[in-house]
Amino acid sequence: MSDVLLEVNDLHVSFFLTEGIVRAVSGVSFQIERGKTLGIVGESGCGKSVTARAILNMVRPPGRIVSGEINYYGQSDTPIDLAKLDPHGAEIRRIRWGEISMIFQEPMTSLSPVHTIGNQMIEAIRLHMDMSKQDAAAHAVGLLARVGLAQPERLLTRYRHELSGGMRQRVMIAMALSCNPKLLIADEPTTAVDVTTQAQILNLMRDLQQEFGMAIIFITHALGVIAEVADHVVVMYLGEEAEVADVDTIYYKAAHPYTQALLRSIPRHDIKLDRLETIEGNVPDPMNMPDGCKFHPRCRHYDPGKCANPALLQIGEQHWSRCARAHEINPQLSRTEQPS
Amino acid sequence: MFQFLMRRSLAALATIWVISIVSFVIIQLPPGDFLTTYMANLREMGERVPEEQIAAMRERYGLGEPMFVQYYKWMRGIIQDGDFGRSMEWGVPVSMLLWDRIGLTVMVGLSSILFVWVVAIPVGVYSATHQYSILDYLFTFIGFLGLAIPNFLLALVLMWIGWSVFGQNVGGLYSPEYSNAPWSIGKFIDLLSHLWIPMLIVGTSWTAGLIRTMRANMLDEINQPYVETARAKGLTEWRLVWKYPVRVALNPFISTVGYALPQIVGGVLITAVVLNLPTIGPLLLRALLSQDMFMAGAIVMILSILTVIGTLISDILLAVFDPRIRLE
Repeated sequence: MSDVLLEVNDLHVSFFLTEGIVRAVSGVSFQIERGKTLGIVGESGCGKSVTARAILNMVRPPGRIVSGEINYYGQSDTPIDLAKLDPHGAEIRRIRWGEISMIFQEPMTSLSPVHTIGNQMIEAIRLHMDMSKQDAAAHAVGLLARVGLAQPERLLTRYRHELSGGMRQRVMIAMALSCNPKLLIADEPTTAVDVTTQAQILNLMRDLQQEFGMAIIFITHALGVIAEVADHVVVMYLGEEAEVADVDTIYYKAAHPYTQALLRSIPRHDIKLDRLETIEGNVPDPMNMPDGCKFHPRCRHYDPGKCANPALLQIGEQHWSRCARAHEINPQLSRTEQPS
Repeated sequence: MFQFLMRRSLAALATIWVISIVSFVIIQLPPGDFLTTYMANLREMGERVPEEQIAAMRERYGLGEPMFVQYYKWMRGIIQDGDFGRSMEWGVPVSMLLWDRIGLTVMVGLSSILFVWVVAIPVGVYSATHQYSILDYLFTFIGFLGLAIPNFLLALVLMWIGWSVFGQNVGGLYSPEYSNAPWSIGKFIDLLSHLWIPMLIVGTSWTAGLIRTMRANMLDEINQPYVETARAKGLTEWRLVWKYPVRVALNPFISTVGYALPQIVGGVLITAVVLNLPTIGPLLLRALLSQDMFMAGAIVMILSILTVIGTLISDILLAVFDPRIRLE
């Protein structure tokens, strides 16, 4: 078996609204290896959450996967193309949660308000594993204890409103791991919790990854969080990848103006600034995307002569940037790193 | 839970007591009383009523006494003997006329609720899960049509259809041969064969409204993250929709169970008159017109009690079904 667990090729997802077509994801490709963590970073509306939902083939109408492949190497070297499966079919439903599970941004609302924690966990476990109710309950208790929740037996009969935000997210993590998934998609799992809890959740996820050995796709808008968890990073901007590289390269050799701007807007304790830098301008209207390089209205390096329709350029061994001037804006990129 | 029940029951009792005062006062508010209306009617027909007889009746019903004394006597009768007083118009105890009709009213009410729920909930769920589909538009169209057609008109049309197509006499709740017969299986079947028309009429406008409510509730819930979690778990669409968003969207329904009965009695009054239904509504209308105060008072009281009990039941149901409601 190869190391690659999931491979996304030229994925296009569009939303067909009465006002027009929104191309939420337009040609994204990346891959994730078994047991590794891939971070997907970008502003709101860049298509990162849509990408995550596309992997589970649960983009809802009026949205739809238009083209592209999502090859999942679950059992063998012959992949299943998740994008081609019937979204209501038995095959994708077996893979959902059984092989690829997901946790969401809002721990408050991602649990049902009127069902107990136990009901929801046992439901997921029995759907994918051949277990009696008692065994499933025992399994759930074990997981709840593992994610650091006190009195896990009592928790089974609790409702979401009886738990704190951090507890809810731990419950979601326990539930997501309940069927031993090979891939965990975490869509902004720490955005809605406070900073202390955020750190605890990140540590917990890292520990659990070592223990369970699953791969993680970590979606966030915060580059600072990515630094702590990810092996590889995809920086997304308006439905395309702006830059793809391993985490160190992103931090030290960023070769796309958008990544550089994101990095400058992270507060740092070693540099004293009066004002934190922000990225100029706003995310463009999705109905009315800029021509050519999508980032050019906000780019400080924009040169109309050079920047027409940049492709994703390979500029290092594991480093791609969708910037025509990647080498000019990053003098650290040595000539030798360029592919001949 | 026990404490909650006790507290709610006490509050219900207090509410009923206040309602009894208010309804008694309101019924007495119009100038004159039953006897003045009664005499006026007799005079119109050219009859003369001896003064002594009027005085005797006034004495018998306690009409000359101050209002609070009348109220006290009325309440004492109800609490001690379950005696709601005598109907002045009919000349018999109110309870004799009332119980049969209350039973039938509840029967019409319950069957209508059943009809409404059985139709409105699945249609509402379908409309929400298939928003803007052809069937959704069709249901919406039919729904608005149902809302817009006045009940009494629908009643007339259905009576005509029942008569000309099915050859059925659709007025009332019984065929003539059963109307005064004692209860039997035949009578019950006869009742059922008549029940569908008021059920349909009462149900139509109400169903239309509830479809809209259910659809809107569902649309609120269906994009909630917990539904997405359920979908990500690999549940079938059918199972996840009925287990999660429908369950939450039903709560407003449960909380309005209590209002169903007075709604039916008040809302279908005209229908009941048109259809000649032996329910409470027409009786109340007549009692109010002739200022038959004990009859009217008793009906208003019993309706209020039923409403309060209904509200109590829906509160309890809601507390059972919605864990977010705290009993403390």
